[in-house]
Amino acid sequence: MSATAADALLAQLPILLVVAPLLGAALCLLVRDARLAWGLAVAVSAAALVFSATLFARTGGGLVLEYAVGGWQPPWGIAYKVAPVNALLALVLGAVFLAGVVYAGRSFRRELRGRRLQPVYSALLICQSGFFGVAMTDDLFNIFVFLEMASIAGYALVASARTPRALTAAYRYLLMGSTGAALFLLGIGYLYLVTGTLNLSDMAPRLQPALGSPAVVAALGFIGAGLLLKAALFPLHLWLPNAYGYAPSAIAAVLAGTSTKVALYILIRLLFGVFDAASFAAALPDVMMVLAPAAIVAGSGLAIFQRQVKRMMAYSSVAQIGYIALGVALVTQAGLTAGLVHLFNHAIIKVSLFMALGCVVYRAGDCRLSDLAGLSSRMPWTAAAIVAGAVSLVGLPLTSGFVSKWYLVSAVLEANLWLPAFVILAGSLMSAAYGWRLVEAAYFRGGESAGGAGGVSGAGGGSGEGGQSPVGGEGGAAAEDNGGGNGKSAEAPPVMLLTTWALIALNFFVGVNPSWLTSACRGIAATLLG
Amino acid sequence: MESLLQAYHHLAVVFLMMTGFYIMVAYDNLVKKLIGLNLVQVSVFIFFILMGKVGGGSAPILAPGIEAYANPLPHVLILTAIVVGIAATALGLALAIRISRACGSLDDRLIAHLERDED
Amino acid sequence: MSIRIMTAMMTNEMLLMACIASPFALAALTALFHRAPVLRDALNLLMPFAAPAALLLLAGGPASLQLTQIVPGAGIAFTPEPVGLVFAGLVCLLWPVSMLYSLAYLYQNRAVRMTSFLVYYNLSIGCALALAFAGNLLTLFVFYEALTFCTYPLVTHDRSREALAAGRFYLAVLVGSSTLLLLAAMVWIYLAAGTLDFVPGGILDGRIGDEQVKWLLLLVVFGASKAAVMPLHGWLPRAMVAPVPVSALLHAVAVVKAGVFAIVKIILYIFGVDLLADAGAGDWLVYIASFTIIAAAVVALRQTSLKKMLAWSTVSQLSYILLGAALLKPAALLGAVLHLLAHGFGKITLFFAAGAIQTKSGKTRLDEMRGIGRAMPWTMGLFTVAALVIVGLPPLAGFSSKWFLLEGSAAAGGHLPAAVLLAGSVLSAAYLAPVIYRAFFVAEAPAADVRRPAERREAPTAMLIAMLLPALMCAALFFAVDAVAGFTAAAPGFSAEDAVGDAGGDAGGAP
Repeated sequence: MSATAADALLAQLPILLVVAPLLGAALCLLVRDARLAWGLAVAVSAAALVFSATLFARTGGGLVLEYAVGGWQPPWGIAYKVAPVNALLALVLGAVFLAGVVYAGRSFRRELRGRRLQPVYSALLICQSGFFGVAMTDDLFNIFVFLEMASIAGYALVASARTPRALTAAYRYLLMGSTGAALFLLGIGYLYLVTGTLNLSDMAPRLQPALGSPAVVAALGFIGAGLLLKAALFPLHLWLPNAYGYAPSAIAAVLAGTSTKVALYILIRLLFGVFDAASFAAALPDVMMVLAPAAIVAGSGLAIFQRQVKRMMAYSSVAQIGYIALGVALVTQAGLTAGLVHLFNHAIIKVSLFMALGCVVYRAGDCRLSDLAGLSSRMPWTAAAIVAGAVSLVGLPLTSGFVSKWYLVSAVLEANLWLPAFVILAGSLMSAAYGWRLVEAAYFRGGESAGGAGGVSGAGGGSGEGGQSPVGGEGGAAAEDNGGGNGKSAEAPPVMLLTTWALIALNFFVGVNPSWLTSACRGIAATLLG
Repeated sequence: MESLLQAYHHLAVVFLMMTGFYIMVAYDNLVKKLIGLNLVQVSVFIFFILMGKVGGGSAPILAPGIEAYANPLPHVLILTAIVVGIAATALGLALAIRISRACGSLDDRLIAHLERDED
Repeated sequence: MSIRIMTAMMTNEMLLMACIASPFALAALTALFHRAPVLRDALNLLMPFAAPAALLLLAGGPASLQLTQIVPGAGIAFTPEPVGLVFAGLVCLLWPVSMLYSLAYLYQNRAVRMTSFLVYYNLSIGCALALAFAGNLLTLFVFYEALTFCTYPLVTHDRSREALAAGRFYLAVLVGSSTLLLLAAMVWIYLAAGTLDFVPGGILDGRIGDEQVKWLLLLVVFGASKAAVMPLHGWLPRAMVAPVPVSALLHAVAVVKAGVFAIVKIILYIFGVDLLADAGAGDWLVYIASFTIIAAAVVALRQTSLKKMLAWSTVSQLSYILLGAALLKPAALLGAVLHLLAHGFGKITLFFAAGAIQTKSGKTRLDEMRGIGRAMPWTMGLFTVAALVIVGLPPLAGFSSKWFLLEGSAAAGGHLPAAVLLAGSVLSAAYLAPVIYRAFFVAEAPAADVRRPAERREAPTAMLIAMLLPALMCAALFFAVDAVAGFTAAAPGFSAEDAVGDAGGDAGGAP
């Protein structure tokens, strides 16, 4: 392919990222076989990951891609603009969605047994399209529309588990998410009122003379409230624990890696690209500076006492969002870098954890702490994946969590803020506390008490399936070490394990060799801070 | 000059929005909560539509002899936002139906009570 | 992730790599051959000799390995330097010994989960070795943390409720302090100095105020809570629920030694002796180490269980090493390094003996030790030798270390350290002597145990060999003090006048 043809294709990538999943979503509804729908979703997601990785690689050199939708030039038409920050988000989305969709194949077939899966894959692709749209577009109203498109698909996906808990969780998620969207939209209205434009690049200079006027203050307030609600920053997190805790595992994994991250991304773009975060808009970072440590403490603290492990991880997400928000709220080069690094790292860590938990659900039917008993002998790979995720959350060295923690702590100390530094470190200890509950349950329960634990997990599985109960008893027979002798059937399907471990490998790769990510984030932070 | 008009319609919007929030918080019926959500959304829509008003402007249709037109863009935006709102409402209602079938009730407080027992 | 070879001396790098990698490789092989116990055990007996062999061949030659960069300017890097080599030597020498003992102990006690025990044991050794060779603070931290997690399954090997509780406490204290304090200190150092490399003479000189130096040292000493400085010592006695070879690993080979080693290394290569001396920052460390020496020894006196007593003795003895480092004098430092070795060799023998007694007779309480010397003369003989090391009598290494510590405290001025050192020795004699006395000179209680007369029930030969070798090393070290002295004198960058002032002593600080 000639260079010009390649460039021409590259120029189309932003719109392709949005359109391809959307087309895939429509096609998914048409095909008759659920496996075909899955294959279609995988193909589209794989293409999207390739596109977004290409964009990430190409914008790394400072290239900014612009695309005028329908040929209408900005600021009149809708413009897509891909700078490194967009490409970073797209990369996260691409990786999470591909892993999630591949994983969902087997997971759905177990957790959503006996149901038509085509609409679920379709919703998953609509969600993907919406989030990619947010990442690509440079138009504020367009961001709103794409965000809502993805969110509504997300509510439906949470509800797709169809258990009473999932339904109510989805309902509350919808109520709070739509409220956040309405506030966000109101803020957009104020910005439009003042500047007469919706194009983000166009807006910043026009807003400059009006900064400080009541309308802009109102815009900042409404946008801040709306997006923090969507980002689930404590105390606006109430929708999150149940939504992630009771959604199907694959959905929980995908949403955990994307939905809150996208809201934070919008916040970062508006805060630094439109409002002047350092001076005028300092009120919002100040508020976040208070809320973020509270989120870290409250999220981690509540996580410790959860017995439903998916909900534990959801509360852990509340805390981790606090870490990202803390970095952003510093409004310094180091802080923003740390926030962006953790945005990426937390996405991979938490997605891999939810996937590992999904493997437990696949076999045990549920995912309470008691279901983890003796896991190391029943499902050694799943158990090891949970340990890997837990130590990354704690931030042990050589995991990506350590890189995040290092950058965050040094950013906070650089700003001479000792209390937040203490909170960060204390928070990672608290995450060690709940992480250790998992490890202990998986590895150190089920020695002498395996008979009882096996009985519990057998009962848990009994309601859902029936034939799976012998696993607990076998684990209890004082099996040497990791009990490699157990039948292979006890472990989750290879596809699910492979996707989980692919993300864990990425996680450790970042932990050992983070310079590509950190330098990209540093560049983005420098650009955003101007 | 315009501040009176602005303040007037801002107040109306705020009143509508607060009414919506009140309904969402104060009522336990899941369908009523959705109605509250709709009020909040409608308040924002009205805000946008009022924003497009240009003093003395006519409808944005090209015609001879007319100098000032109302800004059509907010209307177009709101058309889209209404669609988004309808989608959310429809999904919310569908969820409410499913919840009432699964839990035998539409009472939020009752459902929350049941869930607490489960935890 | 390319391995960048920094110097032209290819073989040195390879030797260093072999030394660090051999425990990890053995762990992997052990896991691989978990279905072939004979092969697994043979490997575990033989392969541990690889590390000391590689170390011997390396012989302090220059070598440097840079593996990856985690934060700008700091990554995983290994560089041998004198103090690190001494610690590595301790680990390398005790690795084959403790594997021999572990296997004997595990078979004698019909232990379950042997493979996982051996895997984690070797991993712990590997972490300790990597920590010894760490070329910067980040590497040290990485393996310090890894060591905690590799030893946790060993501490909780029994899986009993008590073991799990002790394990949880173990993790809470060690991970808690290292995350809250040591990591914070490391970030602080990085922000102040822009690097984390270990440089003789330190990297913080002129970059940090006197008052801050004190706080930073506080963070380091309590952050590296493996050193069991009071009040962060409680995890060590509680971890006594672990099997005896694990106690040996904790007390003699890896864990607590890693703590004091980390502190000594940070004092020498991050702060620099001069900076600490100028800031007067070492003073409170002297006090707190002194307090720990005395208090822990007093607690040891009151113990009823042999293992618990030995654990408290360790808490006390570790602070000798810290005291030596805190005095900031060449002779004291030499004493500290010697004590690191002497205590390691001595304490491992004591624990091995305690384990042998427990294995053979099931006795763990001090009042049960009556007459045990007649039943197990070799075991108790070696126990006595090791006890003399801890007390510090010639011709054993404990004497040399305490001699140099005293000399250093004289150079530093003030009577407190010298008094504490002597009082500590007297107290250690007070808690160790009754055991020996009971073992040899008191007959077994006639009432309950008539059916078991004082027949010979000696420990198995493998255990005896494992006890004998470290005891011999103690004696050898007494006569090889000059070698260690010459070795460490090259290291840490004391100012010239200090070295001259101390040259009046024996082989002490003279370069």
